Amino acid sequence: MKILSHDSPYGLLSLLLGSVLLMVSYTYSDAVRRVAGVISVISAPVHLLASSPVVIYRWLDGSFESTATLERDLVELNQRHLVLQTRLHRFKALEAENQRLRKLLGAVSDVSHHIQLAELVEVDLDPYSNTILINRGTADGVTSGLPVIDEGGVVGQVTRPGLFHSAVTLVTDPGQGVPVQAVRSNLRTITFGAGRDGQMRVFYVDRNADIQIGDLLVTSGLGGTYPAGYPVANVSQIQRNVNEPFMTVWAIPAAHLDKGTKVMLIFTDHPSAERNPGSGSGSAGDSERD
Amino acid sequence: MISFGTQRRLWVLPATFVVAFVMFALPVGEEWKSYMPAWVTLVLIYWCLATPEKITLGTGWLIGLGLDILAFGLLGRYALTKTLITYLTRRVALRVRVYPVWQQSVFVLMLLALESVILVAIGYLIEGNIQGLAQWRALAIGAALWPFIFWFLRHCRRWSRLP
Repeated sequence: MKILSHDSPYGLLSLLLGSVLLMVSYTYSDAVRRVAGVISVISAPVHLLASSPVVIYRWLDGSFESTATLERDLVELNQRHLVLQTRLHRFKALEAENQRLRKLLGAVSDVSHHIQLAELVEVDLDPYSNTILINRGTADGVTSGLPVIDEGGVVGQVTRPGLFHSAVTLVTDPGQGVPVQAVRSNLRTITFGAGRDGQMRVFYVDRNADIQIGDLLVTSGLGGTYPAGYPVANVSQIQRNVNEPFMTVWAIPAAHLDKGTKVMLIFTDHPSAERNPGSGSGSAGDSERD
Repeated sequence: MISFGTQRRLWVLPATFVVAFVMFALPVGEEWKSYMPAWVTLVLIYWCLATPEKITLGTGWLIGLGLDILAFGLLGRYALTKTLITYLTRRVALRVRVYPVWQQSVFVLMLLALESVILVAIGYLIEGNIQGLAQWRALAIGAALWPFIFWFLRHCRRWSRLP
């Protein structure tokens, strides 16, 4: 019979101190974060197991779909592709004209972006934060702060890049601020996540500011993280408080945060440093210049 | 030590932790996320109570670190809380494991609440905002599930012929 010996408090203290030191070094040191990103590779098998129910369900769901449904979908998608392609031609002409006018004015020309597709990994990362996992990492050129969008609008930004996977903090996280601009009134403000129900709050809206329910807020490009012009949220609720300088405004994110499976990473190509799109990513097939 | 001439299945203990890790990462969607109990903590508490000599403080710390890496979060957060839980549970293990199961549930609830408070506090110190308050539901569910987890893991332990 072995009698359980108590742990020495020194052992406990040294391990607690070790944890605190780890947290501090992770917060302040870029090298530690990079090492942690590489180590995070070992979590891939667990993520694979955890996401397998959803993956198998999707696969079954897809394989039982009838040919008629698929054909109808194909026709529909082809039509949509045609319409979008036509619109894109006009957009390209407008972009060229815009560049020409900017040159005439002597203004700084608009930076160009290129886009890389990424897929969501169907796992819950952490109950204490609003993050999702995508299947692109530093090996694909992903860096911290990279903006992530889907077909609806801005999803968030990469906060913790790993080697092959990265954690993206959603715009609905209370710590995530997005500088935005209302399309209708050109009003500039900042949105933050509300931390519940997937809602967002719009801050610093003056009591007399021109804002209405349904206003579309797009990124203003201020701050440098998010490129200008991508939809962020729609204003859903406005409370005017007579005795406070600012209004309480709520908004619903434009991105399909809980439905989508594919997202896009926006890489900014600086005009000074000519960068080959998709260089080092090894997946030039799905990167495309817009 | 009496030997029955049968092999112990030592892999069962790590396997239960792997299952808990997978349950932690299981995608349940935004609205159910706050109902998911802390599986890893529950499994850790069970093994600390049942076989305190197998789980040392260092093991608890490593499990926490593994969870940190799995969560892609701040490194050292879960390592800190899991170490603390290992220490507290091992300290009172011989007393608590003779309690009736519902009294153990109360003990488990206190540990889960302690962990939650620490995690929220660390989040506040580092990020500057309070997040995860909706997790109180997970605490209640974790404590309510304790009898089932206890029963299931006891079967696992007996089957693996661990002491």
